[in-house]
Amino acid sequence: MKIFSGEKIVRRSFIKHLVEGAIIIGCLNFASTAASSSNEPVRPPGSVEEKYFNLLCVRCGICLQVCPTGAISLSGFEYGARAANTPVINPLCGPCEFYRGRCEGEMRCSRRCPTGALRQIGRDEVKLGTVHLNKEYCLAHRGFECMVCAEMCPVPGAITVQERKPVFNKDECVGCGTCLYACPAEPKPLQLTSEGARRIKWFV
Amino acid sequence: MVCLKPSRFLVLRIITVTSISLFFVSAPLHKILYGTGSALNLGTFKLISPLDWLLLNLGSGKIVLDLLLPGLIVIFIVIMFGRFFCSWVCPAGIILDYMNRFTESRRRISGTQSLEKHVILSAILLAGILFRFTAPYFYSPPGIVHRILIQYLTRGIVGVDLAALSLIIISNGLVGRYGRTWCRNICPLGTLTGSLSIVNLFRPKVEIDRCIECFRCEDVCPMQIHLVKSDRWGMMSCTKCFECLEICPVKAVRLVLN
Repeated sequence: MKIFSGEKIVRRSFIKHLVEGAIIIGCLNFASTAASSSNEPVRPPGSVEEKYFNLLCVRCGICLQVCPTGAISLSGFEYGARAANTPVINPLCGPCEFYRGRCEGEMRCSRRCPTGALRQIGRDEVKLGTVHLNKEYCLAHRGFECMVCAEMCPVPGAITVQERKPVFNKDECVGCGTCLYACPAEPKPLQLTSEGARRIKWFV
Repeated sequence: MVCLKPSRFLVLRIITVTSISLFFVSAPLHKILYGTGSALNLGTFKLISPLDWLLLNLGSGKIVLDLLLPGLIVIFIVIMFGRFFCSWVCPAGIILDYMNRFTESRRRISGTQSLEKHVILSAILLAGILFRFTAPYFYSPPGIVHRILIQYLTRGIVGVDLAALSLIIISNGLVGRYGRTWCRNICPLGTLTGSLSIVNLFRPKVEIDRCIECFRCEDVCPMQIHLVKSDRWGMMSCTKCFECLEICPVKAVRLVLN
C-alpha cells in the first residue's frame, strides 16, 4: 500500500499509530473536562453564548488590538482549557466604554471580529454583567466623602446616592466596569461578575 | 560545520514574513487590514485559517454561513498553491529556520515523512467532533507568534502563548535536529494544508538529463523531500522555500507550473 513516496505501511506500524491516536484523543478529552470551570468570564459586548463562543473564537487577537481603553485581555487557563486565550473584560486595566466614551456607539471589537463570536448589536441591548458592592471596603460606607463611582457611572439610574452612600441597581447596571476602574479604595470594594449577562443566541 | 551564510531566498523570506507580521500587528495605526495568522478582516472580505475553519464547523456541528465563503476561498488557495504559507507567511517557521542554521546537523536522518502528523491531525479533528473540544490557541503557530507580539505591544504581558511557542521550539530540537522537524512531523495546520494541496502549482522539479546526482537539493530541503525521484504525492509537503533552486550546482532544479 503506497501512500507516500518511498513509504510502506505495515500492519504493525498501523496498530502503533492507532494506539498513538487513541492516547492523543484521551489526552485531549482529559484536557477538555479536567480543567473546565463553572464560573463564566465577563465577555466583550455582543458576544454569543458561552457554549459556542469558545468554538467560534479563533483567538486571532483583533479585539485586543482595537480596544481603545485596554479593557480586553486574553484569559489564561482560569476559565478552563476550552476558554484559554479568549477575550475577557478586565476592568482593572480599563473600563469598557461602549456606552459612553472613546468607543461610544462603535463597539470596535464586535465590528472587527472576523468569525462572528462577537456580533454588532445596539448599545441598549448590551449587558456584560453586574457589579457587586462589598460594603466593608467601601469608603462611603466607612464614613468618608466619596462619590466617585456615582459620578463616573455612564448609565443613568445604575448608581444612585442615598444618604451620601452609593446604592447599586442591578437591573440598570450594564457591567461596563467604569466604577470599578475609577474606585480609589484599596482593596477594591467592587467586583464585576457575569451575573445576568445578556449573550446573543447563536444562529446558523 | 554549518554554513552560517543565509541563502538569498532565506533573506527574502525573512523580509517577507517580518513585513507581513508587522503589517498585521500595527493594524490600529494604518486601519486598513485587521488580522493575524488565524484570521483576517478587511471590512466585508474575510479570510480564516483552514484548520480553524474546519474545527469551527465540526465543533459546532453546523455549517457557519458567515464563514462559508472565506473558508472555501482559503481552501481553494491551498489546493492550488499548497504549503507556500509555511515558508512565506508563518513566523514560527521562519524562527525555526533561522535557529536551525546554528543548531542542526547537516546530515540526513533516515526516513522521509512520518505518519505521526496525520495521526495527530485526525485525533484533533476527532476530538472536535466527539467532545466539542477545540484548542486553536495551540494548533496554529502563526497565530501564536502574532498573539505574543500583539499582547506584548498592547498590554506588556505575554500569556499562554509563550509556553506554546517554546513547546514548538523545544520539540523541534528534540524530535530531530534536521531542518524543520516541527513542520515536518507534528504541525497540524501544515499537515492539513499539505494534504489538501492536490494541484500544487509552482513546485520544483529536477531535470533528470542535467542532474549529476549530488543530492545537495535533498540535503538542503528542510522538509526532507526525495526531490530527485519524487512524484506528485511526495511533493505535497513542499513549502516552496526554493532552497533547492539555489543550491543546485548545475541548475537542474527548475520551477515548473504543474
